[in-house]
Parts: sequence; C-alpha cells; structure tokens
Amino acid sequence: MPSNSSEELKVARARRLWDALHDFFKSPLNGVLALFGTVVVLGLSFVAAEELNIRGNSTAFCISCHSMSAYVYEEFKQSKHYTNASGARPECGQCHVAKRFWPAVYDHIMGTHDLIEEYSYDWSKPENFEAKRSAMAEKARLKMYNEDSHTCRECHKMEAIAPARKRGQRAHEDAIKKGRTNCIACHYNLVHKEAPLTEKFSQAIKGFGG
Amino acid sequence: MQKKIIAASLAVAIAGPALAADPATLKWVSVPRTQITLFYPGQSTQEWMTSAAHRAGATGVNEGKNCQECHADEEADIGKTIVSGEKLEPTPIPGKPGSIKVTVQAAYDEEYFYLRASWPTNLKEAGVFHDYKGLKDGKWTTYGSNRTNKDVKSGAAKVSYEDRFNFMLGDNKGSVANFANQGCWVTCHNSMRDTPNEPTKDQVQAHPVLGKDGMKKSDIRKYLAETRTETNDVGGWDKLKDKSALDDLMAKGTFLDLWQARAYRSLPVGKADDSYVFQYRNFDSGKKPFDSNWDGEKKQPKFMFDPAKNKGAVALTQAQFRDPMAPKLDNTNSVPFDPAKVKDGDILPGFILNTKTDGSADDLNASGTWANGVWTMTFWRKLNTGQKDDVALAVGQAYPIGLAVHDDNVTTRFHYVSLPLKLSLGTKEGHINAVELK
Repeated sequence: MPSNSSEELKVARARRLWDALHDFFKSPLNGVLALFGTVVVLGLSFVAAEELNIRGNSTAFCISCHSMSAYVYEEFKQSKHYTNASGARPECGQCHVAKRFWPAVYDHIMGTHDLIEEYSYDWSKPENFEAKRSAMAEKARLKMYNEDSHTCRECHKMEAIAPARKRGQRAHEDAIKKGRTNCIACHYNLVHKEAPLTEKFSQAIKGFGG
Repeated sequence: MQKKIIAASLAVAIAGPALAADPATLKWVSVPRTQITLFYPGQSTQEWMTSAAHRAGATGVNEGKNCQECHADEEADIGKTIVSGEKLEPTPIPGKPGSIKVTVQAAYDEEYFYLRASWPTNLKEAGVFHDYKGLKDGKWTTYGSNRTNKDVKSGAAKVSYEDRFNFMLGDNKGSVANFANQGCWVTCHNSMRDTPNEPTKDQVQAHPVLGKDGMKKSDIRKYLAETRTETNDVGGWDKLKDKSALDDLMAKGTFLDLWQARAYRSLPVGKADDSYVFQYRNFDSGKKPFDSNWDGEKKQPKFMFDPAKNKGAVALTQAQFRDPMAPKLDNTNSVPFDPAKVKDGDILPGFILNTKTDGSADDLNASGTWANGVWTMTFWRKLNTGQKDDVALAVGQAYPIGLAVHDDNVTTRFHYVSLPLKLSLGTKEGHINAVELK
C-alpha cells in the first residue's frame, strides 16, 4: 500500500535524525557547544528585543509618523517637560511605555495599533486630529491611571516634590496623607494641548478632588 | 429702644446729600477690622472652574471643595497672572494691578445690619462719574464711558465710570447649593456679557422670555445655573426653566442678594442698588436709585437739566466733564429732553438719579466718602427687610458671602473679587464676624 510505504519512510527518517543526534551528543564537548549556542541565540534575541524597546521608546521613532510629529510633538515642545531649569527631557516612551521588559514588549505590540491608525486617516488635516483628541487623551490618561502613573514616578519621587505654589503644597500634602498619589489623577493636562475631561476618566479619578 | 433710636438717627443722618462725611465713624472704632484681598478674575466663569482647563481644581470643585482650600492666600498671585493677560483675559487693561486689599467691618444692633469697607483706590480721585452722552455734529454719541467700552478703546470717547463696592449674600440654608463653596462664580457664566460665547444683541432680543417680547433684555448678566435646564461650556443662557419651575425656586429662596454701592448712580441719593441674582441680575421691586437716560429708539437722552435749576443751562459743558462739583441729573432738577434746546458740544448724563426710591429697592441704605486715596463705603439695612427679594439676616447665624470692587473706571467682569467668604453675626465662625453695637 502506498500509504504504508510513505508511513514507513517517515519513521525511517525520524530514526535517522534521532541516531544522528544521539551520535552528536555522545561527545560532551558537542553538548556544551549546543548549550552555549542556545544561550547566545536567546541572549541576542533579548538584546535585539530590548534594543527595539529602546528605539521604540524614542521620540525620534514616534515622530516618524505624521500624526505624532505634527501635533503631539509640537505640543510637547511647548511644555515644561521639554524645556526646564534642570534640562531633564523624557523620550515619548519614558512616559507612555512601561519601564520593565515584558510590559514594554506588550505596550509596543499594542502600539502597532497606532501604525494602523496612522494610515487610516488623513492626518494632514488638523480637524481630523482634533476630532479624535478627546478619545485619544482619554485612552492615554486611563492607561497611566491604571498603571498607577509608574512612568511618572520613575523620575518624580512623591516625597521629593516641593511645589512652588501654595495650592500645590496643600494638594501634595493631602495626597501623601491620604495615599492618593496617582499623578495623572490631578496632572491630566500637563504636556499636550488641553483636552476635556471625559465621563469615563472623570469616573476613574473620582475621589481625588475631595 | 435706645439702639433703635441710634439706628434711626444714623439712617436719617447718612441719607443726606452725596459724599457727606460718614456719621457712622464713631460707631466703627470698636468694630474689628478684617483685611481681605480681592483679585482680578478675568473670564474664570463657573464653566471654566469645572472644566479641564482648571486642571485638578475642576475635580476638587466637582467634588465639593471650597475654593479657599486650595487658593487661600494666593489671591494676589492669581490676580497678577490673570490681569497680565497670561490666561483667562483676552483683553487686558494695561497697567491694572492684579489685586487690592479691602478692610471690612460688620456690625448689627437690634434692628439693623451695617457693613463698611475701605480700600485704597488706583484712581487718584473719587470715581464718582459715569456714562455721558455728547452732542457731536448733530448726533448724540458716547462722550464718556468705562475703559472697555468700544468707543473709549477706539479713542472716540473719554474714560469715565463709577467706582463700586459690591456684596453678595446667600441664605444660611444653602438654598443656592454651591454658593458657599464656589462663591460668586456660581453667578458667572460663559455666554454672559464680556465672557466667552457671548450671544449677540439680536439673539438675546429674540429669546421668548428674556428678549423683547418678555423681559426686554439685550444682553446676558449674572444668573444661577439652578434656573437653567442645562448649562455647558457655552453657558446655557437661553435654556431657561419654565415659569412655574422658576416660581417654585424663587419661593424656596434659591437666589442671591446683591448689594452694589455705586459712587455715581446710588450713593448720591443715600442708597445702594439693591438687586438679586436669579434667572438674571434683577433689580429689587420698587423705584430704584437710577434709570437710564437714553432713549434707544430716538437715539437721544430722555431728560435734560431744568434751566431754572441749573444756572440757565440744559446740559453740562465739556469743562464740567469729570468735575466733582458738576450737578448730577435727577428727578428734581430735570425736564423732558427737548432737541431744540441743545447745541453741539453739550453733554448729558447717561443715567438719571431718583431721590424718591420706594418698595424693596428702597430698603438698602449706603454712603461713601473718598479721601486721601481711600474709598470708604457703608451699607446698612434692616436685618430682616421682610421682602421676598432680600436675604434675611439673624443674629447667631452665619451666611455665605462674596465681595467685589469696581475700581478705576471699569464695569462688568473687570472688577476685583473675593474667594468664597463666610459672614457671621454674633459668633466667630466667619471670615468676617459682625459684632453687636453697644
């Protein structure tokens, strides 16, 4: 039967491969080489992924898309996060992408959605961007809120913040006392052009005003 | 009884001619003084205050925080920022300071409540002038008006407007829910005069209730959000509740009493402009201290001076403009306007004073003196006037209030305002604590 003979052929091939591997690993040196090779390949993959994470976090990468360079980047340039007394200037991803490796990989995978959006609309028209600003701002705010604003706190240490104005001193003292230190709940109109409070975000930050 | 006599004699003494020395001086020596910083608010309307533009403040306001909780002692800084035009002020007035300090005293006796305020003015004379119309090339045009008037800005008219001390009072039951926490901002909305999205005269006149078929308004002034079915970023000026809903609200006391001591239009007749904020900034019922002297249809004044009582002249001369000794047009020295009797260059006041006020508009007395660069203005009124458009006061109680000053020829929102304040009578729980006069 042809099927029988084809089956037999497969079994014979597998056996030959097994025998070859068996022969190869008879020598301990070969085993060490194989292990080393695996580590090197995995290591290089991690380095490459981390490099992609870093590149993907960079402002230069983000603004290679028109929707980013024409609007949010221009707004960023007007902000204190771009120019300030200390000269500290974060890259886009330092605020918008998780710090740790796997969460960063996840954020970048999810970020490919932005790529689809980039080619889905005519971003040369500001009205197209403005029409989506509120929804986009809500998404960015909720992401930060749900992550407890950890990207903010990579640089800003709550106990080290010394607000210049009385309102800031009072608000921070109160926030520390009540343990409500999710930065974005108050600083939701900080870097980019003002966007209105949406119902969903307002609900999320309920309790931060009292 | 003796206190009543004192109060009555005081009222009689002060209700005399304009800018008489304040006979209440002796009484005030024993009354504690509170200094309050008033600041320039620009276009910080209630809608702004609850919007994302107010940042974290919006969340606080929406969750019932009092402005004072964040902004106490920041008044001067806020005023400086806004008056400069950096934010919330699209039309800054060059050189205007951002804040002023007002010294306030409050007292009461068995029958009356007294409130006195004094502040150093930026104008180096008493701001006792107002709108004037002038006859130029056979046409009556604006001769003098406030700093933000379009003719003044263009240079076609001169600067001239009255100084004012204003007091807003809510009841002690929280009938205007947010007044205690949000202060006068509850009356200040987008779509009002000089605020974002201000409706046109035609739009207001076309409104079935506010317009020419109803209240005959041509602009939008203070109102409470409670009187609208909806308020939003645009403001909601036109979304009035129906009459029965408004009547119910008014009957429940959902309004704010507003007292305005006006240096031209009320102090000369011994009164303050007694108003209340509800669906509009309404005048109290009765004959008020002043009326417009402008006939909009004929585009000419309604009244002129009686020559028999004004040294033969029917109008003021240009030399009398901003002369504190120049007569003021009132019901005792005027006759109906006669175009045949005026000549080019004549000036007539834009408002006519009433020496005979009556009704609820008559129950708020006021006096004022300006000396050495300082205004001192005093209100006094029965604790309970018994009028439906006044907020009654009672000893032992505390009331939410707001203060404002119009200084140096400005009107509408170009004033200085206080954060929400509390007034107590006979207790110590307020920012201003009225004491009993003994």
